[in-house]
Amino acid sequence: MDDTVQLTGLTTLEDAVRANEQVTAFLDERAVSPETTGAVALAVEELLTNSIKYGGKDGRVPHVRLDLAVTAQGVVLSLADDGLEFNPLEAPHPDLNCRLEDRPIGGLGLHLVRTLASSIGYQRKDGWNIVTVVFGPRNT
Amino acid sequence: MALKLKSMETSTGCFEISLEGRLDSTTYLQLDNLLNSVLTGKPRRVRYDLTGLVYMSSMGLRMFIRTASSLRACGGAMALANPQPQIKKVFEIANALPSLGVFGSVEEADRYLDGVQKREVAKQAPAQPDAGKPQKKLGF
Repeated sequence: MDDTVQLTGLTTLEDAVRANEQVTAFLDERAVSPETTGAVALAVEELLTNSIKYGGKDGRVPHVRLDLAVTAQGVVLSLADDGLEFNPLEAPHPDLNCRLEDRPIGGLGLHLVRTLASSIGYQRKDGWNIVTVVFGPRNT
Repeated sequence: MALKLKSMETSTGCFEISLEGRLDSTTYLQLDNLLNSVLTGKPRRVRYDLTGLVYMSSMGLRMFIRTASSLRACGGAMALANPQPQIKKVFEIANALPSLGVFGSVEEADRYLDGVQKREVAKQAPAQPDAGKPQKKLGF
């Protein structure tokens, strides 16, 4: 069984949700633990919706490409978009200690991804944002 | 998989909302719409039954924060009953467990809300003649 998959043409929130479900099915079939599968699926939705909602420039939704690989080192998720430059590693952390109603709206999704992932990398290359997220070793 | 919502006003200003399925970047709109009508009436309590909720992203989490903030602003209370482990984890990461009122069962959540309501009633009861009088200052 091929342990990699690529999804392209992701432009709407519905696409993001569909990608999340496809990724879940793909990882389930490869016996990845439910915890890791849940974490990857959540990251797919959070990162994709960020790119689709905020990455647009000149009135154009960015092209988004998702690559997923199940390796001995864990599940590797790579998301590339040609939208506005955005480095998730430099995004401010939400203040989780203030009262819920005082919290700013943004930042929760990225905080979830940063907490669930083993590592996150970012590079800007030829006008593309490339975010690589690794989730724990297989079956752990 | 979509989101199934059931909402019931069990007595005036007391709502029970149960969620089944996925609360994500697209399905959250169903709950958002429901809250538009429920919260306008300044309810006293809202109890969510999360038993059937299998997936929640940050957009979903925001709906519970919205409910809690709105209720707190008008002296009401909210409780969340029986989230599955993967849902509880999202609350934990967002450090939202203490302020959202998350309980292991519907019964526990209802007991908590009954307690809150009793305290509210006691607060509104006429004060004892001497209660609330400033204590006599000692003149040194």
